[in-house]
Amino acid sequence: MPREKYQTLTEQMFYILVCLQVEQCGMDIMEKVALMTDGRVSIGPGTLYHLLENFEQAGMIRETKVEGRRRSYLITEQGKKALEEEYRRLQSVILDYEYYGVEQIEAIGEVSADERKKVRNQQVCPV
Amino acid sequence: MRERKYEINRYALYDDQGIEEHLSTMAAKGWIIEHMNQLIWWYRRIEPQELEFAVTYDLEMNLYEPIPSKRQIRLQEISELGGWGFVTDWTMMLVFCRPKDEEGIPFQTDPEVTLKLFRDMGIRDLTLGVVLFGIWTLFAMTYSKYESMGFSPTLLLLFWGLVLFTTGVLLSELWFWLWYRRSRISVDHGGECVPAGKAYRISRGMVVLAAMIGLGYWIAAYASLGHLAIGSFYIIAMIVMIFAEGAVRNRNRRRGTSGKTNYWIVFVMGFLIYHLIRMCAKWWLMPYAIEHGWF
Repeated sequence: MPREKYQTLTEQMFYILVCLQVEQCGMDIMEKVALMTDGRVSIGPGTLYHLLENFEQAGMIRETKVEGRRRSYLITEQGKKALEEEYRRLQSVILDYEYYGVEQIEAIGEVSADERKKVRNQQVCPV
Repeated sequence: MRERKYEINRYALYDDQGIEEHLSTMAAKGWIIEHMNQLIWWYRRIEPQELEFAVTYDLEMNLYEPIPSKRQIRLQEISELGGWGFVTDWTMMLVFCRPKDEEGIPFQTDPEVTLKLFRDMGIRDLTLGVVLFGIWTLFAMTYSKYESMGFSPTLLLLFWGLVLFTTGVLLSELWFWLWYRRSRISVDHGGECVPAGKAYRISRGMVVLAAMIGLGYWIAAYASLGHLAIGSFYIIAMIVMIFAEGAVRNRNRRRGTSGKTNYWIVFVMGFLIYHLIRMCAKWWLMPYAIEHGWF
């Protein structure tokens, strides 16, 4: 099933938005993402250009200044909201992973959704 | 030793992997791409070297927009900062290259972004296909109504040209969406877009069809107007018109004329030249042919 636009962010989208919590230019984003992830995630210039264009059109970032060939960007409130939603989604995935051991999976049909949520939130830190 | 090399294009616009590999192979043989269009690619001689090419697309670019556009400049700036130099463009496609670097960051690193570009491109082309099909249907209905009026090579050319071109566009569309579906599945499973394979056969087929239509028109003009010179005149005049329009359009693009203005200049120019050709044929060539007993 096709992914709805920005319903979930790819890793690269996520890290670009994280970086843009502080004003940055394109080159800085590429370098900082590589440093932040110890090289695990790298963003190529083609991908970065298209993502910056898409984010700007969607109102998730805005251009702040142009200095010669360098254009700087900063996240907007809408972008912060998308980032926050993605953070919560990822955290929920991690909580599920931590909660569901063999016992919980075997008992999944016997416990109601509300009870499951209650127990899970007691076992692990709530979001 | 030759300094330029020409090649017939055998890649679909969306076959980025095929194009990148081919351009790298050519660079290793000592030829770098200089200019591209749907039909012919031009190469310039260089020292054979290991170059890595990257192809990307900007859907807001078209044949009438100024070069380089603001968006193109932005893309080039980011790319150059990342070590990729701009080489050339072809409608909405841009080509970049850098010395081969196994450790370097690839140009495109998120297949989701690439796939979205292809999807948007496909939707736009599908619209064109549907519009063409609609025009063809209207034309076919009108043509069959007035067929009894007599044989006209121009009408016949338009009719078969539209039939073949529409079929070609719809076939390309079908091929594209099958490829897109396979790529979608691959990307959803953490892979890359799949190679476009033999997609070039359709574009090559369309070039052959266009040549056949031209030849058909030539023969039809000969059959109906009685002399090869009349048909040849029309064919040559139309080829000159197409090249003249292309030259004016590209000059306007380099001068920074806005896309809309450029479009209307080329449209009006085409209209005037077409009527000039018709007037020449009617008032000069035909009387000359009759006077010299060609018929």
